[in-house]
Amino acid sequence: MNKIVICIKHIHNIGINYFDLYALEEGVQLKEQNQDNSKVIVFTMGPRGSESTLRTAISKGADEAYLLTDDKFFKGSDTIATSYILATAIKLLVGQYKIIICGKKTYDSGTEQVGPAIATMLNIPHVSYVREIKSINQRRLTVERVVDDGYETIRSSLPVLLTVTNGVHKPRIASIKSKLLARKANIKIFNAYDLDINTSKIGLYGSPTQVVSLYTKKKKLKKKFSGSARYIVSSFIKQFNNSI
Amino acid sequence: MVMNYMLSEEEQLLIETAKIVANEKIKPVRQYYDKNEEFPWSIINELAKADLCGVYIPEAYGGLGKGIMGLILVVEELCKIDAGIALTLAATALGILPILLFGTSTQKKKYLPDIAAGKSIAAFCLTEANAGSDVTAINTTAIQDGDHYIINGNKCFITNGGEAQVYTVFVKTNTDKGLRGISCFIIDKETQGFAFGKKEHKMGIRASSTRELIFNNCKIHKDQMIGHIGAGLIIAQKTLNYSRPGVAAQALGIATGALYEAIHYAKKRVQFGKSIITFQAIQHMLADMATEVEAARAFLYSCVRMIDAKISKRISKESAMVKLFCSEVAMKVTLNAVQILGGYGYLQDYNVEKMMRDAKITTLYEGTSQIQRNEIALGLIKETVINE
Amino acid sequence: MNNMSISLSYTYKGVCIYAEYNRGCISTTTYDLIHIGRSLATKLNVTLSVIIIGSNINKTITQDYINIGVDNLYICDNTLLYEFQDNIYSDILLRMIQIICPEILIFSATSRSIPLASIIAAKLYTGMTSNCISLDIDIKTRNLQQFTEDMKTILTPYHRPQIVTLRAKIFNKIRVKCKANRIGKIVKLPIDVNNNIFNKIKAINFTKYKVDNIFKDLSTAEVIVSVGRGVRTYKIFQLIKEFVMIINGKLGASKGIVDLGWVPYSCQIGETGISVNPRLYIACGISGHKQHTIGINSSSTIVAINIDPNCYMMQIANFALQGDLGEIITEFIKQLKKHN
Repeated sequence: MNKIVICIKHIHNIGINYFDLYALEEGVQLKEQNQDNSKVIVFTMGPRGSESTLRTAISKGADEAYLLTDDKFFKGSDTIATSYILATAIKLLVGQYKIIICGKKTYDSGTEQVGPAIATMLNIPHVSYVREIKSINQRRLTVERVVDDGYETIRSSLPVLLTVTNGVHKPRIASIKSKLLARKANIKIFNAYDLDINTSKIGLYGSPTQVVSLYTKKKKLKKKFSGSARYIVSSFIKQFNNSI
Repeated sequence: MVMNYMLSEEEQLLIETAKIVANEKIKPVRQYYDKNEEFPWSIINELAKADLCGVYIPEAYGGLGKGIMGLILVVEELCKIDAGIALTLAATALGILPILLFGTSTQKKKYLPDIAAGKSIAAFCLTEANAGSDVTAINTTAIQDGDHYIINGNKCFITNGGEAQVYTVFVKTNTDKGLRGISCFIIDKETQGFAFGKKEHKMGIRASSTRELIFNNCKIHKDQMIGHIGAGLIIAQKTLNYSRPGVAAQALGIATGALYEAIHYAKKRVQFGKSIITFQAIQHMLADMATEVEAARAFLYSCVRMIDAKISKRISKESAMVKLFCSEVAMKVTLNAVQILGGYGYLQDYNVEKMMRDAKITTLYEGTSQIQRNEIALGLIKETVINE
Repeated sequence: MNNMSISLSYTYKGVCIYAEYNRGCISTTTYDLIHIGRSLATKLNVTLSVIIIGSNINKTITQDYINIGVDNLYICDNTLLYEFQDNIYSDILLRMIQIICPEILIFSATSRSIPLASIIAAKLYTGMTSNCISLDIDIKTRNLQQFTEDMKTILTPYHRPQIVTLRAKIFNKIRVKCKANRIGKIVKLPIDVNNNIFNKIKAINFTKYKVDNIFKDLSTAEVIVSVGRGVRTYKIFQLIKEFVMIINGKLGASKGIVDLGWVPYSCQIGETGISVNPRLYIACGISGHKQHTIGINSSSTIVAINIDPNCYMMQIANFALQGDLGEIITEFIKQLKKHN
């Protein structure tokens, strides 16, 4: 049984995080390509309302779904704490997996940390910003990733964690029948106690980073520059850099 | 859209899915298919994957069993984006309805599952060069030859012609019996003696294929006949009663799409220092357009609910009314949408000129507006006779 | 969770920069990071260290860094480390951190460094903030104030090191105080060749982006430079392309330019083209017809460069640069390239 784990995030009022749709699509396509038994297992950590996103994932091809939710202990977790919760759950509930796929970042906070952090906590290698899985067999895979200055091909042993960007496979549209089935699907729910997790490391107080304040955006300026090209560019760069 | 028609959760799911396919898959390519008059097989594939091809087909045959209501909700939603592409779905429904309504269970088992799965599409073949509104003037003959029939003749203006696998064809089995001499056969694409003529170049719905069918000693088995011999005209009339709301839905979708384009444009366009939507002339046009579209929708939905409920066998007047009303509204609304967009409305880059070209067919096919009026008047006469 | 243990606050001292080095090249953001790191270290009265991991690391770089204020350089130089690979580098980096024990660890916010930083943060279970736009020290608590681009101020009060990834400035012109032949410490560390991570993961191939990459993915681009009819000659258009590549942006266009065939249709921004929402939109020679501006998200910062100060684009711009387009772009290239 090849287990393909996908970590997704639920965004309030929007649903499944944009890059996670691509992660899910990659996972489901891997499942469909293999003749042997493969299973796509989806995890999300969030409030109770995240359940709807798990159902969306099922309608798009996921086989099992786990909701990690705990208003008391999980709420307020930063990215490292979130990664810890997900890694703990995957280790406990899935056992032997072949590959873990995450979206490269979340739409709202966009830290890009969760994927690599989970991989580290599970002691497996990871590849970030994957655009295409070029080949995969029982022991290795080859992927193409996107970096700031070009494309890179990486070969890795399995198990491995991938974070994906909007790559070659477009997320599928869920069919009506699968949406109807997803409504009745069984979502497994776990809290901090079920996962036997160290609560002093998570939540609002256990998370290493704390948001202290939200500063207000500086008012939109309207500045004009004229004169010599050198003067314009120098003073513009100075004022632009100061305005951020 | 604030009107709530109390659609069921599953009906809302149909609309939502159709909307996603329309916006993500059809919208980016609609201009391409319209300009190139290419048949949109890749889109049919997307509709099939989303389970949208079989909404009206009973669950026993692999469909969703949502009736004509399911069909019109999906067709309307798709037509808001592009009517030509949506037509492949609607015309398949028309083509397969004779089997659905009158076919034997063997025939249904043979043809319906592939249609529901989107693996094959259908075409309704009635019109001929000399038989448009005057259906009884058809000349395509079917002569019995043992267990087979030999078909000779031509059909024209057949939507999905040349692309469909399944053709429900109306032929003259007995030239002496007039109206009772017409029968209906299911003919597969690969049948020997069945060929296609040239593809027509049309004003609108250009993504749809419209072709001539040529039958030259085409031999088909008698088991391919739908219903009994001579039942053809009844089958055609009953089928059209069920399919006319489909045309109404196409018209409604086009009108709604055009209305949105017009409102959207009027808000952005600034002339004389203001958005043109602040001008009363524009506001009144939009108000009228919106009211007519909503009235059309309310009428269509109630009519189809009634049809699906199978309360009465007499639905020809109502379905004619709804087709007449919606198609005329579509023509008016699209014309006004072009007017509101002004010069830009005349350009191909902006979609309203295409919507206007697409809308025109809805007042023509499956019975022209004039024929619809005949039907309605006939219905009025019959009803008043009964009540006296 | 109470105050950080006393041992922690005494054990971790100093500011440390990770200098991204890949396939023989140092990242252009390093000078920027050192400048910021130096100012933080001075405020805290601690040392500034820089870590470089790679192959055949240039000796002049190391002395340059010392001259601009770096106190210690930690280097791991081995041919096996030619390609940047975060899974391999992380083991080495972790050892160095355990030696240096910095209270602040700064990475640049790039596609290579962010995952590497995330591995370190996870291994040490400490706080990491991505995509900071600036940093400051709270002198009373010695905590690093991390300002992110989504307007949050973040602290890592009880964990060390405080890890951040810092975004490069779009227009980068740092003048760093340079002291010739300043004294600094260079420490060289060996790698563990038996580490089986070398068998697990490998970078096989790298293909650099071609010029036409600036035409792609406009809808998710953060920095877009757009060209309009005011770009009178193809020569100026080529200058603008060069400018776009220097600031790592993408190129968009109004309908007029697309109709000339200089850019693909997929770059057309506006009513009959695509919609974009970059952080920064630089409009070159665009007068600002509604059909074009409708494609730009209202929350973008707009810079307009145009000879006509009264056109609509110049009026709605947050920064309106009035002058000859060719001269201004040439000047931009000169001033930004000088730094790089």
